[in-house]
Amino acid sequence: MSFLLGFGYFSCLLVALEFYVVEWNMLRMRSGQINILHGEMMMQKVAPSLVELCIRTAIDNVRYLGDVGETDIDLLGQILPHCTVDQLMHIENSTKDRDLSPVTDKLWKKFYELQFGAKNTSLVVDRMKQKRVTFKWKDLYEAKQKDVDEAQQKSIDRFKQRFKKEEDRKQSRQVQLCTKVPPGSKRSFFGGGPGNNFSNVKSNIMKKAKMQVVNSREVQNLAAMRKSALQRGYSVSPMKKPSGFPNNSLASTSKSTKPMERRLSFQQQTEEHYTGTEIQLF
Amino acid sequence: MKKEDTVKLISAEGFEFVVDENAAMVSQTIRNMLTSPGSFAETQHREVTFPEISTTILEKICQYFYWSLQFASGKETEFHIEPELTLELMMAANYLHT
Repeated sequence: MSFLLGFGYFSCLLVALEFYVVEWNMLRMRSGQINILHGEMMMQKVAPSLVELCIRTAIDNVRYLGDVGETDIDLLGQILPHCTVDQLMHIENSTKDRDLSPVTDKLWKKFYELQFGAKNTSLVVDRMKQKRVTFKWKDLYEAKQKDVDEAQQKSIDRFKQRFKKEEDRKQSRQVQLCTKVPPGSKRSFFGGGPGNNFSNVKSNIMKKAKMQVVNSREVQNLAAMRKSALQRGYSVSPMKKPSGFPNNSLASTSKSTKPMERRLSFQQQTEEHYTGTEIQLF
Repeated sequence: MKKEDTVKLISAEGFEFVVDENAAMVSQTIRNMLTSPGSFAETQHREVTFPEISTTILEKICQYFYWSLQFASGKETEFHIEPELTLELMMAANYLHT
């Protein structure tokens, strides 16, 4: 019971203490611009210095900074820590006549650590000690960034290659449309009988086999067509001409044969096209 | 304003800014120039030339002097600085210890 009371008293004391500490800190922080807090304290209001105001404005506008050639080193030391990597890079590159390293070297070291890790940073430091050389951290940063970018680009290229390979492989396995060989053109030659040019066909055995097949079918179809044509009369049915149909061969046959036969051969070829497409020996 | 209460500040281009003595003394450098016994010619003529400070910047500095006095007397407003003046103004302010 007494312990609880004591605890309560103690916590009250702590709260009061905190309150005073906070107030005291507030007073201390605003040393340049002390406001009258309670009305009892008479404090002199001091305007912030122009230098201070300029520094604040510069920090706010750090992204617009370029050539800082003539600015005092101490002032730069207050402003530049507020830059990002790109902003700092831009400023350093724009300030051509002046080496900003005294201020920026430690900033670059920090960027190096943020970007590439503490481990890498200590590694670099050790290496520099071993070889007794010092490099500017800006140069180290740029070099490392370049390496990283190159490695990344390489791996992207590798990926692209593999993807392309896979794509090509898939493509090669698809059925591809080569130039349409009109099915009937060769058949009309074959159907012509002996003395025809079989030079398009490669082997002799195949020539013979083809001749047999085609001839037999043609004869059958021819017979069938003649029958139906006689029944129907001289009506010309609209026929779909295959696009790559060589007109010369048709013309040659039509010249020598009579009109009726011409029509028949035309129909027959079309029929052949529909029934004989599996024979693609070319 | 009596002549004794004013100071003339001259820019690099030759522009003359006549300001109150109190205002000018916001700058520690100017204060030293005017109050130190005898060594500065400025003390007698109450004229200070700033060959490195351009007119625009000097004008802004004079504005700051008055703003600073205003602030100290209770009227707290914001002193706006154009971004393009910042660096030059900062250097001039540094030189003038203001």
